[in-house]
Amino acid sequence: MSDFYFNDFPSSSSATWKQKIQFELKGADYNQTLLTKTIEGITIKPFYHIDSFEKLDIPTINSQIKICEKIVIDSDKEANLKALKAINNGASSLKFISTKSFNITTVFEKLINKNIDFHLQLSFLDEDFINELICKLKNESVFYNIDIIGNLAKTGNWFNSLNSDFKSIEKLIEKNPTNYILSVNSNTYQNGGANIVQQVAYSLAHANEYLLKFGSDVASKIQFNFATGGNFFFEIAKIRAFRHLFNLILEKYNTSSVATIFSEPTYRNKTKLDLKTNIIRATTENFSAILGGTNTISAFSFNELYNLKTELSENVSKNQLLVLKEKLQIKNQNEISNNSYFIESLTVQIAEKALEIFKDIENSGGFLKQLKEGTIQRKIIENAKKEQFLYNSEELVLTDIYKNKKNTTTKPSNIKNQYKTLISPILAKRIHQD
Amino acid sequence: MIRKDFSDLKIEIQSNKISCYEHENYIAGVPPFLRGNSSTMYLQTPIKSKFIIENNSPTSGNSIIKEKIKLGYNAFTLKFNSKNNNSGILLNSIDDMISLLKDISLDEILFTFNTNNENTIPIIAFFICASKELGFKKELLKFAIQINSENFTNRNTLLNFLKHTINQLPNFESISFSASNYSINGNLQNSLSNYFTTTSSFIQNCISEGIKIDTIASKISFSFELDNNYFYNIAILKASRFLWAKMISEFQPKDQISNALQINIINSKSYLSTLTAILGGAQSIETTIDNSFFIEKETYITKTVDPLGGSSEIEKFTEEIILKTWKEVINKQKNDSFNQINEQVVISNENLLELAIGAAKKRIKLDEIFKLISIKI
Repeated sequence: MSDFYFNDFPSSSSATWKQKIQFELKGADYNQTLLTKTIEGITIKPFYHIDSFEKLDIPTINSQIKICEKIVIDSDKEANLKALKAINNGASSLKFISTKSFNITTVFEKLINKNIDFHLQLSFLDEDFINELICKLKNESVFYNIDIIGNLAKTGNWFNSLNSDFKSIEKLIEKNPTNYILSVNSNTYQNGGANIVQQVAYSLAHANEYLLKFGSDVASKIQFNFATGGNFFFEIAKIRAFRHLFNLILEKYNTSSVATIFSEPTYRNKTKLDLKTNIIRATTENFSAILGGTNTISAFSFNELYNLKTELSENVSKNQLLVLKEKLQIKNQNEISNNSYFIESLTVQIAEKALEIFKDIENSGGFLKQLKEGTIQRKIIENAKKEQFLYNSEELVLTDIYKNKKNTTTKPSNIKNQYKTLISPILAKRIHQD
Repeated sequence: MIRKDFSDLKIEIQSNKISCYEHENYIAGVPPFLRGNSSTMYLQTPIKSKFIIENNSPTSGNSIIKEKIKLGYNAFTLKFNSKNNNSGILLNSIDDMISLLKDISLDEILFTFNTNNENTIPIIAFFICASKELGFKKELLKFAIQINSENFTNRNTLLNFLKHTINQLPNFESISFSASNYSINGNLQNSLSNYFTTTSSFIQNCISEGIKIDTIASKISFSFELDNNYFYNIAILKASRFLWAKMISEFQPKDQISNALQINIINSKSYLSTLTAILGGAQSIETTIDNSFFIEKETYITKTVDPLGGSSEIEKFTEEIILKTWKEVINKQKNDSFNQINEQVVISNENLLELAIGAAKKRIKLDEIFKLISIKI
């Protein structure tokens, strides 16, 4: 039937498209004018057409995406009130961030039995405390996000010691095999300046250390924490490429799994100049994560950046949640990315490049070894420097800075490693240090 | 556990697209323009942001325009107050128009006039006249008008305007017909098919008046308001370009570009609607917050044409909208009452715009000019 509608116009090919462009360029160089090379070494072409279609099989989730609000626990009571407020504002997931143990009953008062996902981000490793949490939250969906290798990468030290850290995890997993004890905090690499291909490769190699140590059963019980950057379609492809590759390496362990992914907006491109632009950045980044098929998206905590007054901070986070919730009206988010020539092609390219890096890391003894030797840190710094150079030479633009250019100067970073570390840590660094 | 050997791991690339629609074989820059009006889209021509001026006196409107020009805007939508509508710039005479436009390089700015349909000619008259008094010839003026296609009552005046002046105003951009907001009236096919039947019959009228299809087709554009059904909206824009190309091809234009539908997104209130407009391949967007610079510089979205091309969901919607809407266009065109409206058009030989300009020069007020024209129709 549809012939009747579509036979007025002849179908056409990539070759014709390119010819047409070249004709219209009137002698200008096609490559220079229309190809965009990204920091990953991937080239964005001016068009992608069905006749050069390529794709990978991507395992996808079908559950509703959760919206997470982060809550830093200073006072237990206050944290609980903030959590209740966040749920009221539409959060379906909460992340508690704490540097010390807290009163579990107070913090979780009236929060349980509400179909809320809980995430923990603890900067210490205390087996007893984790066991107590597991016991009190036994009917809840909880992600403990313990990442001993990630902690080493981020801080330069083990929580306690190599042996004790691994022993603790081993015992926790043994006792609680159905819980999400482990995480791979890939956001450390993103915020430190790794590009998308590196992030995918490092996340895989990082996870492989856990598979090696704790066995293939943990594969489906790891949460992957990604930070999402500003390159909209690449970030969509990042999640897809990662899911494909994770399953690919799991073949070697005779198992398979759809990776559980938690996405948060990156810290790297945010500035102190313009809150509105930052909100738009975070919105775009969360939108990418949704289309990439993440499990959870998270509001950006502007408090860290701005020292916002409580009221404004609450409004910002409330509005963010509202916008995010509105975006979840999107049905079939996986089907939107699925088969898009551009996204599928990016997914293939990112996967190909990341797999190469992963293999290199494995060949040279694995992620932990490369981390101890400083290879991973060096590679990340190399990429971060490249990005900084692009920023300084205005090829990479942060628009709020661009518009306010006359009033701002970039100060060199003065983050110094102030404590003694085993290895050099991967520090988060914003591109525009203001 | 012993470290595994991954060296033989390979990714398996598939090259067959399982769900594939017939319209996926088209490319951008040639009819039916489904994937975009130009072969390189935003890589070479960024989307145009039109800043909306409304709810202002002419004087304060003027200072906002000047302020926004400094920020880089070169296009404005001017919403004028009218009887059915209490918002908008209050404008009664040529002197109000002069207050609104003074100290602006009128030849460098694109103005889109949005008013109730019957005030269109007097407003254009004020614009041409005021510009002349400010030192700008009408040949240099870039402007467009917006017409509501649901309530299209001034067909005769518009035809008269086109017939008499289309050759004297080389920079007149377009008449932008708006489709009604379907999320309010609830039926997209009805809203879109009204747009296509109205514009099609209007083009027929123009041709009857001796205007060539290639002259008129490029002077008609599509104003559309997006809602938050983002991906469905992208499909609407793609489908609309196809439907336009199909409709125009029946008039057998000589110039391919006549088959390209210019899309103007109106009343954009959020960042995500700007994003949707760009993903859908629109030419311009009316907004009070311009995020297109951000999108262009930070997201890489504009580095490839129709980046979501191929998407299972969007291509499915696109085909669905094309098939259903075209069917309804055919039904409406078969309908007798529709044909009657077409036959009743008789156009005055008098140049109504000239008449209105004459009156505007004499400082005659808008209401009076409107009456003056109405008698002549």
